[in-house]
Amino acid sequence: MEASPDRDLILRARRGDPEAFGELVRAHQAGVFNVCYRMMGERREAEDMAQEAFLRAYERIHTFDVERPFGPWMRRVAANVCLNQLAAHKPEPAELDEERDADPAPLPESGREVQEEAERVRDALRRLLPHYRAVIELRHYQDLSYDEIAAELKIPLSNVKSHLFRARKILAESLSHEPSLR
Amino acid sequence: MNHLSDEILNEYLDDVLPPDARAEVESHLRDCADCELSLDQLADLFFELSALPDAELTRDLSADVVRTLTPQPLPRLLKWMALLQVAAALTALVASLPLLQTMFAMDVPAITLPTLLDLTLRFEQAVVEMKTLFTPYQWQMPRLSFEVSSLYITVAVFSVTLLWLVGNGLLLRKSNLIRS
Repeated sequence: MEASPDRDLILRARRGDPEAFGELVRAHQAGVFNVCYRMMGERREAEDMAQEAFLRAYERIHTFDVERPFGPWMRRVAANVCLNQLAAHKPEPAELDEERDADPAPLPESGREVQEEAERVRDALRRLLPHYRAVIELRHYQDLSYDEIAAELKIPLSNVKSHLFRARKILAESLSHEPSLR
Repeated sequence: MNHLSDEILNEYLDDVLPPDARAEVESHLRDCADCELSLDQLADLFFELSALPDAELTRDLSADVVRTLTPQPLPRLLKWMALLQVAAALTALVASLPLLQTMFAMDVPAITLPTLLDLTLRFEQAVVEMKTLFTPYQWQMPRLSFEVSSLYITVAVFSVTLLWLVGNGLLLRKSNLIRS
């Protein structure tokens, strides 16, 4: 197995070096933020959750196997932090905050189409129940197997499948695919 | 013709079906336009999800994370509190020296089975004597070899306990792992 390129930073962070952990944050924050953005559906909240996920990871860094890659572990931590947050504070039906979620830079015509399509998918994800969002995140964006998702979310394998298939059906309907998935 | 179930279509695209089941699905798809259409629509969804571009993170999170994790320097009050604790501990140690000398002067026998039996017997005797001694119950404050009133000792013990609790309570509140 290939050793984690972040190994030295993780070992330093374990010895209580916040600057070393800061370097890990810089290296992985974009990926972690995107997990949180897909899970929370709102940019500002996603940033807060990403920060919270890093702090949670720092507290648990002694449990991390340094021989494994840090990124996937960190993204799983982030998904769990978001799921817990969503479960604890049932959000209002997601409404886009145009100002906060607007892309920072204006886009050309082709870019705008891509952005609109992305927003359509994000909007559909936002409408899913939190546990449906979690299985979609772990399966489609973190590439976990059914068994790994069951272990990560601590739910039976049968629930993983039913949540995942149901979530896909809802997404397909939201994204205007004909709901012919029987 | 029986159509393929949602579950089978999902598992086919997730690539978790065993080879023989997968071959059966593919054989069915060749002859069933409805199922092929359903599969295509599900595959479209897979594609749309995978095509979602990453959003740009517009601020660096590391500064806030590092600031939260970096232990803050102790305020002056806490430093004085720590010094007071050390002074109180040293005073307690000096005050207990006569007791410590007495303890160290005791002849401690090697622990063997006979000495353990002997100690057990002595303990049982002591319990019986204590019961006799405290019947009827009559409490007296312990007397020390030097002239310090029991009120002073009570106040001293209370003060040291208070200092310890307040000092450590404040130190724990400052711990970087305990966040609001």
